[in-house]
Amino acid sequence: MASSNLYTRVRAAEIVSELRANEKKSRSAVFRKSTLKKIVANMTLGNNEMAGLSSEVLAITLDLANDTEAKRLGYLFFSTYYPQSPHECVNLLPMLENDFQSQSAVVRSLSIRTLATIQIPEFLAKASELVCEAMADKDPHVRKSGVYAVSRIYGRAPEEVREQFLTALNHLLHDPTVFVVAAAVDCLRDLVENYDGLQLSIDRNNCFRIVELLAGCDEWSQVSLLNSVMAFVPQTEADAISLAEKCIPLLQHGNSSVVLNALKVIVYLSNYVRNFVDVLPAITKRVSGCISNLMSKPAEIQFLTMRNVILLLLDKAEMLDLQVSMFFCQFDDPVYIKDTKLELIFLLANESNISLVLRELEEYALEIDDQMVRKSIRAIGNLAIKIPSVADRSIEVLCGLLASSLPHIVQEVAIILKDILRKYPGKYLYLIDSLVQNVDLLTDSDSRGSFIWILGEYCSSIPDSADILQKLYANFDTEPTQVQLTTLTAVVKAYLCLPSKKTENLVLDVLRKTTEEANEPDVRERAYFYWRLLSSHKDIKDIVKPVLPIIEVSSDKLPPEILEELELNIGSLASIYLRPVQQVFRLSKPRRLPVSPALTRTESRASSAPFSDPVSRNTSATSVYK
Amino acid sequence: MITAFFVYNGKGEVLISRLFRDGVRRNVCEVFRIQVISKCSDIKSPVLTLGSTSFLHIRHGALWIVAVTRSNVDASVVLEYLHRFVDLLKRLFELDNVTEDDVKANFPLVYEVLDESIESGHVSNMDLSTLRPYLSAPVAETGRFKNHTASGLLAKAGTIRRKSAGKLPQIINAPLDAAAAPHPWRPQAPKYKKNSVQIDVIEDFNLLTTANGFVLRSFVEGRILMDCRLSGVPTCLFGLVHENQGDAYEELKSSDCTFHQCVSLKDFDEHRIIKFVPPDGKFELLSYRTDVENPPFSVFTTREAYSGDSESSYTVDLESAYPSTVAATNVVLRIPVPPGTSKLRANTEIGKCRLVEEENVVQWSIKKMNGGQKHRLQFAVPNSAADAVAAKPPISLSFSIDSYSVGGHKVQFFKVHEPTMNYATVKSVTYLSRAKSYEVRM
Repeated sequence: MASSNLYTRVRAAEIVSELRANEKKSRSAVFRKSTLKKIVANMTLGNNEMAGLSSEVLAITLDLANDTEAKRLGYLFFSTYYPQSPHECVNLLPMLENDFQSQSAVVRSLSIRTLATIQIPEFLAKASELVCEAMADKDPHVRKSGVYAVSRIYGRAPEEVREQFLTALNHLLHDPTVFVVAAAVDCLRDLVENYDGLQLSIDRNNCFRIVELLAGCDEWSQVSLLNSVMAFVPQTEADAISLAEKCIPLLQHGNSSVVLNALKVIVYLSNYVRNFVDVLPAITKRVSGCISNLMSKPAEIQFLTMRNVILLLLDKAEMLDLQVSMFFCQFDDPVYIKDTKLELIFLLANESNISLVLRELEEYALEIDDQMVRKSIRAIGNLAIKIPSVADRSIEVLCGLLASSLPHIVQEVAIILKDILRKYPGKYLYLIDSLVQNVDLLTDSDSRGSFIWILGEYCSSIPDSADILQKLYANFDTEPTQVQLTTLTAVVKAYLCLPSKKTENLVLDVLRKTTEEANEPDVRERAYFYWRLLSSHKDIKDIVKPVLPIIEVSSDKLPPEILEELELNIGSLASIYLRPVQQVFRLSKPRRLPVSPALTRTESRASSAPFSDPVSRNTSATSVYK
Repeated sequence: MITAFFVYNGKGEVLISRLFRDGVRRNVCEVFRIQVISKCSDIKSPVLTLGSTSFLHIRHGALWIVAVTRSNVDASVVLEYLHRFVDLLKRLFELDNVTEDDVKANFPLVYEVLDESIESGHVSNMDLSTLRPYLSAPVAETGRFKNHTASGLLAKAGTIRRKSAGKLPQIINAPLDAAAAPHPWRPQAPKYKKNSVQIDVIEDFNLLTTANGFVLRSFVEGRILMDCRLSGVPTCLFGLVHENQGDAYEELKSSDCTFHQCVSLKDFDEHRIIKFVPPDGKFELLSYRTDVENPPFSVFTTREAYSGDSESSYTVDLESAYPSTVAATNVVLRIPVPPGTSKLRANTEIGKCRLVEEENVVQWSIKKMNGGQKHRLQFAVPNSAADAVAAKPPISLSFSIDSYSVGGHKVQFFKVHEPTMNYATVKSVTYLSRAKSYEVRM
C-alpha cells in the first residue's frame, strides 16, 4: 500500500471495522502495521478522531512488539494522545519496562524517551526510577537518552528525586564518552535557565579538560561544550588568552553553529584581556575570514551572521576588518537580506571606501523597488551627516537623483534634506530650489511635513516662499496632525521673517482655523500660544525661530549593558532583534559579564546590575559543576 | 531548544508534526500557517516571534520546514539543523529535490530521523553514517532514480522485496561502541576489495560588475567533495595549492576555508596540513572562497536607442579569458529586455539566439566555446513605452567548464595511511567550474 495514500482523512469507525474484518487473515500483521501507519498519518493531519482509537493502537503495538518501526509509531501515537487515553497508557507501561531491559540499545533509548514524554503520574514514578538507571547504563546512547529525559521530568519530580538527578548529571560530566558529557552540559544549562535556585559554574581544571575534548568530538557536541566554557570565569589574562587560542581553529569549521558559538566564546573571553587585538593580532583576520565564509551559506544563516556583525560593529569593531563589497546586494536576494546588507554598508562606510559605497547606493536608488529606493536615499543622506568630509559628494549624488523627477525619490530626498540642513546650516540651499520645482510630487505626508518645515526655517532664503506656503496651505484641513502642527509653526515663522500683507493674512487665517475648527487639542493649544505671543507685540522671533542645535546621526546606539548582554548571546534569537533580551523574551534570566580580577572595564558595566545574586542560592544551593 | 517541528507543503497542510518539549500545543501549527504561509509573498524575515514563541523556517522547493521555540534559543543551531535536515533527507532518499510526495511516502522514516537526531529538543546526531543503524524503516521506492543507467536499474531490482508471509523485519542491533572512538563519523571499519577515492573540485563563480565594466566583486566558492571507499580506519593527508599570477604555487590561505568536522583543525591551524579520518562514502571535505583577478568571461554591451526609430539595437560582445585548450559548455547569456517585447531580430555567427517572452530576456546559447575567443551578438527589439520605468535586471551568464578551476586551484597530493592494512588506493580527481551568480549590470 503506497504510503502517500495514507494521508487521507478517514473516520475512526472505518478503521475499527477494517481491523475487525481482517483479524482472521493470515497476513494480518502487515495489514495491521499499515493501519497503524494510516492512524499516525491522520494524527499528523490533525484528525483528532484518532484519539478514540487508543485501545486498538495499544493492541497493535503490543502485538508487533518485535518490530521497531511499528513500536516507534505506536509510541508516537501515545506521546501525542496520552491526555485522552490514560488508561491505555498505563497498560503500555509493562511493555515499556520490558523494553528497557532489552538487549538492543536502540530499544532501551526509545523506551526511556517515551517514559519521560508521557506525563501521567504512574509514568512519572516509573520514569524517575528508571532514568537514574539509564544514566548508569553501559551503552553511551542510553546514557545520553537518560540525560535528556531528565530535562523533561525534572519539573514534576519531587525534591529528593531532583537531588538524585543533579548528582547523576554531575557525575556524567566526567563520562568517558564525549557526547554524553555534552548532553549533560546541555541538560544542566537547560535546568539552570528554566528553574530557580540553580547555577552553573565550572572550575579551571575542568574547563581546560573540556577544551581539550573539543578537538575529537562531533560538531553538535562541540556546540554544547563551547557553551559550557561560557560558564567559566577567567581569573587571569593568561587563562583567557590560552582558552581563546584553543577556540580560534574552530572558526574554520563547516558548521555555522560551531563557528558562531566559537565567536561568542572568543568575544566573551576578550573582555578579560586588555588590548585583546594586540595580544592576538591574528584574530582580526580570522574573524573577518570566518564571516566571509559564513556569507556563502544559505540566506537565513547569512541573515543571522549579518545581524551579529552589526552587533559586533557597535562594540567590538576592532576585531573586524571587513570589505564593504562583500555586502553589496544581489538582484535576487530576499528582502530581509537586502535590508540588512544596506544597514551594514552604511555602518562600514568610511572615508576610504566612500566613492565605492556612494556609487553602489546610487545604483540601488535607481531600482524599481520602492522600499529599496527609499532606504538607499536615506542611507546616502545619513552618510552625509555621519562623515562630514564626504558630505559634498553625497549631496551631489542626491542632486543627480532629484533630477530624475521620480515621485518617490523626490519625496525621500525631501525628508532627508531636512536633517542635512540641520547638520550643515546654511549650506546646500540649492537643493531646495530643485525641490521647489518638484513640489507637486510631494504627495505623502512625511515629505510634505519635511518640506514645510524647510520653508518655514529658510523662508528668507527662498524666493516666493510665502506663495509656496500658501499653495500648500490650501490642503490644511486634510493633512494629518503632525503636518498641521508643522504648517502652523512655519506660517508664523514666515510672518515674522517676511512681514507682508500676504503672510499676515496667512497667519490670521491659520490661527482662526485652528482655534475655532481644529479637533486636535495639540493643534489648538499651539495656536493659542502663538496668538498670545503675537499679541504681546514683543520681539518673539527668537522664541519661535531659535538657533537650532546641530544634530548627530540618528543612530540606534544601544546602551552598554544591553550590548554586553547581547554579546553573551551571539547567535541567539535576541541577536537578530538587537533588543534587550527581556524585551523580547519575558521569561529569560538576565545575564551579565561575571566580575573577576581580569575583567577590564569594570567601572562602566558591572556595577549597573548584579549578576547571580548570592541571595538566590538559599534553595538547593548546588554548584552543579565541580 | 527546539520545542516543536513541522513540515508543511506548499498549501500549508501539515505533513510532519512533532512536539519535543512542553510549552506549546499541537495547534501552534495553525498559527504559523496563518501568519506566514498565507502571506508568503510578504516574508520579512526567516524568524517570526509572537509573544515568547518564535518560528524559524526555511523553504525547500514548495515545502516549509519550521522549528518552534519558546525562549531565547541559539538560532544558529536551529537554522543549521533545519538545513541539515533537508540535506539528510536528500541523501537518504538519494534525490536532489525532496517533494511533498517523498515526505508522505516515507513518513515513518522521517519521524525516526527526528526521533534520533533531536532528543528533548536538543540536537544530538546528524551524521548519516552514525544515524543509519538506528533507522529501521525502509526507504520507499520513488520510481525515479537519478540516472536510468544500468546501476540505477540494478539498484531498483535490489529493492524489490520478496513476498514474505506477513512476517516483519527484526530489530537491528547497532554497532554501539563506535561513537566512543575519536572519530564518531566513521563508526565501522569497512572492507573494500578495491580501495578508491574520488575527489571532485567544484567551483562556483560569482561576479558582480557595474554597467561600465568596473568589477565590484569577483570570487569563487569552491567545494571539495570526496567519495572515499577505503578499508579500515585510514588517516588521510590532503594538499591543495592555489596558483596565482606569477605561476608560483601558494598554499591555501588559512582564513578562507571551512572544513568538515572530521578534519583536525588543530593541525591545520599549526602546520597548515589538512589531516583527517574520512567518513565512509560521500562527503564535503572543505569549502573555500577566493577572490579571482581575471574572470573567465568578459561581457560588453552597448545599446543604441535612436529616438524616432522604432527599434533599439543591442550589441553584446563575449570574450573568453581562459586558456584556449579549455572549453566551456552550455554557455548561456541572458540579456534582459523591456517587458512586453515580442519580436526579435538577431544576428550572430555562433550559437542560437531566441527571445524568451515570459521572462523578458533574450537568450543566447553557445554549445561550446574555447578559450581566447571573442564572439558578438547583435539584435534589435522594438521600442516600447514601458522602457523608462522598467526594472533593469542585470545580464546573467551561466556556463560549465570541465577540467579547469577558475580559482586556479589544484590538488597537489592525497596520501592515505592505514597502519594495519597496507593497500594501494586508486585516486581520481575531477575539476568543474560553474557560474553561480554572474551579474553584469546594464
